[in-house]
Amino acid sequence: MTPAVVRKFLRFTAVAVLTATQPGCWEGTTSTVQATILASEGLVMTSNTGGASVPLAPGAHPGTGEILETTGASRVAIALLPNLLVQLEPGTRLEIVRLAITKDGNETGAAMQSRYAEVKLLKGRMFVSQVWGEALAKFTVKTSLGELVTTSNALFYVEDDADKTRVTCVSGSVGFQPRAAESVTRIPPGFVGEWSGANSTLVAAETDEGAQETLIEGLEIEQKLRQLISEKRYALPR
Amino acid sequence: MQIFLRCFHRALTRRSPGAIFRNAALILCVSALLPASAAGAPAEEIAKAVAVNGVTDVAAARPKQFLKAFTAVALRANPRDLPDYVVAAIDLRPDLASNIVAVVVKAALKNWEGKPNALCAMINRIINAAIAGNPDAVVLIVKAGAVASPELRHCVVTGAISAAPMAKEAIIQAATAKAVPFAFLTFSATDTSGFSFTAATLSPANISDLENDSVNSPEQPPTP
Repeated sequence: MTPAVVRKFLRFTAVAVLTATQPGCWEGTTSTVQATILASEGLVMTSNTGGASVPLAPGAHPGTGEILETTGASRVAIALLPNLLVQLEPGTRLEIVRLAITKDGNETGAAMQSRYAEVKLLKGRMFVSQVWGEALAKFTVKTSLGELVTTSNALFYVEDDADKTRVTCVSGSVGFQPRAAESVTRIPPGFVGEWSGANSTLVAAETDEGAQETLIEGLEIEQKLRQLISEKRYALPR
Repeated sequence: MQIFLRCFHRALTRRSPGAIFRNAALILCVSALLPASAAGAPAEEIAKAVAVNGVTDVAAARPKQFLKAFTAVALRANPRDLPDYVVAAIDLRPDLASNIVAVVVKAALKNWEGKPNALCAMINRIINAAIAGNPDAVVLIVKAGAVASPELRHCVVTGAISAAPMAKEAIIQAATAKAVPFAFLTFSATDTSGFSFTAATLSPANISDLENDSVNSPEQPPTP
């Protein structure tokens, strides 16, 4: 084999390798989106980070950096994304850190590629219903003690005060990674995980009357949220 | 289970005493490996969950208490074992057979969402097990199953017919009967009937029967 042939072969191989390693698909465009308020009861306050609190207006679309707070006995149902519904229980503060979707250039014709939502539960208790659907869906909830991540369709409650985080998984599966820990603890359906300082527990909800009640409550709230979003499906921002 | 019983029968019918001993030991090992649910564990789990509500006698528990406890157990259970839990629950509370079916079908829907074939097979098994547990409640069981999973009512019907072929007519009628009153009901394990009314569900979209019938409205367009 002459050096010229070898050079030609190497050049061809290099081109082939480069072609094969280039991503073949358009990765899409990621845009920041806003949440939709589905329903509220009582006085719900909203503020931007560091700004003054104002009552949440009906039909508002809170977005990145906004903090929602349910005062007194108020509640609010929010579609963070169409696949991600939450209800804030009384006395809850939630900060929206990031809401984004990735689609390809054809906004109306092509399927959703991925959905991202990141929130910070500053205090209180919220119910979450997440459906993955056809696209990747990444949802994280930061609490005072760690970070909760969903890896599948999931219905769950997460509750946080200054020194305790409690997660009740109604269905699906959620993972919680305490700040100091390296691994994620999986909370299976029908289980309650609790983290407080260095202590953690994971018990079946059926062993506690209150937790049994929470599961039922979760199933009922999910139905209510699904109903609310189906009524607003044509009004949701695209 | 049938394979296990056949194996058991074959082992006991062997002539040689050594073979009988070996096979009996094998059967003991195999039975130890069988899922706990086959050994009656679901009934104990349900009874324990009911006891958490301060009721020691499952038969004396109020429907709401029993269904709350059973829902917690069904959500936590391995989805593949749900039919075993149906059998155990109906055995404990045959009077709540339809509510139990509604709870378990809903739990199956949560677990097998997005897998229609597996879900249909599971609903089939649940209905089959429920009817085997309380054959007298076949119509109520079919109605509860069809209301809990309207899109998969054909799976309910298939499961029911395979369990009670003699009641085929009644099963089809129960599953396809006009479901208008049920259309406005929401599943609720806290309600004694298993379903509760909320204005939020009052939507024509909930009336799945409309696709099979033409709408008969007294309001007619004006004639030209």
